[in-house]
Amino acid sequence: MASRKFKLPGFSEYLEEVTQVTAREAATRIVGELQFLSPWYSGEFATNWVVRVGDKRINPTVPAKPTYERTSRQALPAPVVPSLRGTGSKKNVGYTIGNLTEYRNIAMDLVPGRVEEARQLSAPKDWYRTYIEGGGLTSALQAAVSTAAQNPRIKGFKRSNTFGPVGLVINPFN
Amino acid sequence: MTLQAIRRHFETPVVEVCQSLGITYRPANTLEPNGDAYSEFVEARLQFGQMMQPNVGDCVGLENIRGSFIIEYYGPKGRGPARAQEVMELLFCEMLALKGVNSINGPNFTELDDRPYYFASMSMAIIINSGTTAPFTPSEDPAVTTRGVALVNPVTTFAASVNNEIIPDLSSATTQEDANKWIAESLEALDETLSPIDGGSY
Repeated sequence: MASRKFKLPGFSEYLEEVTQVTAREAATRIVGELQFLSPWYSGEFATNWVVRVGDKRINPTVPAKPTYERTSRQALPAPVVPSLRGTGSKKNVGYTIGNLTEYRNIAMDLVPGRVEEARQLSAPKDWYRTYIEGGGLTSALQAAVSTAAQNPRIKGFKRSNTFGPVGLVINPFN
Repeated sequence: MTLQAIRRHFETPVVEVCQSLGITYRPANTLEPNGDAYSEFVEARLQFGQMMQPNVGDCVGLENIRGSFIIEYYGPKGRGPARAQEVMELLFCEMLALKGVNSINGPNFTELDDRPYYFASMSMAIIINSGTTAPFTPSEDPAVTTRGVALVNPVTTFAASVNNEIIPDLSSATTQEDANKWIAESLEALDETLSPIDGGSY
């Protein structure tokens, strides 16, 4: 059975038997929610979420600056999610979602350092793990599938059997 | 299912592993005694995610609480990974056998840049419903008290006496034995009162 893999830092999620459009919808929702939930000091972290087609490694290319200026949280434009069109018969091609900042593991509370000395928190501790493991990610996937199910232009959509296993182990420190 | 009961359900195996290995366990929201890494410790946090899920039909007692349980190990940096692996492996096995643990991510190991710790962590998706957690049995103090029991429609003895209800005086009860005796006397009084009605049969 074909399944589209959604790879996130530290986690993998699968969507079973969905179209390219549905997978793209799901990726858009996930990145949008990650942007919304991300800690915000200067806004650099929240604006550096990216989506790549397939199982890709996302290297940290945005170095940490010596100092940052605090800004107020702003609404961000919808994330750019590349289409899966062109992947042809490879029905198992999915997305990799990641952040480009060098300090991403700290920002996601995968390693300590964000909240210990902080005087003001813009995101609760463990916000990322809570989103992934606490049901937020599952809801985003369900919402994407529901949206696709209601779209009359998507033909042959099967509403059942949409979710695969959760939480395969991937080392986020790679 | 209270949040405290859920926390106790997931924390208890961690505490027991730490006790068996002689490692300090630091619950959430406790102060760090010092910043050095000469002593290792384990920290665990419970974060709740989606706690609202519509019930189906009349299953009013069905809860479905999702969350994330995170266990972190801090040990001295520069002494190899063996100890951290030993600790995390034991914790992994304990959590794997625990009801309510949906999937475990990790453990991951890394040296912290700005702190003198070798760091390991794992997290797990948890789902709790009313049938997930077994009754808690304290290992050190097996005494059972009524301190945590919430009464349904409680009536004070004063209110009962005003309404001529058949409840003996509770003012002299100061111990659990007194309370047990009071309950037994209450039942006898109730039985005696009902005898003219039911003929004394049970």
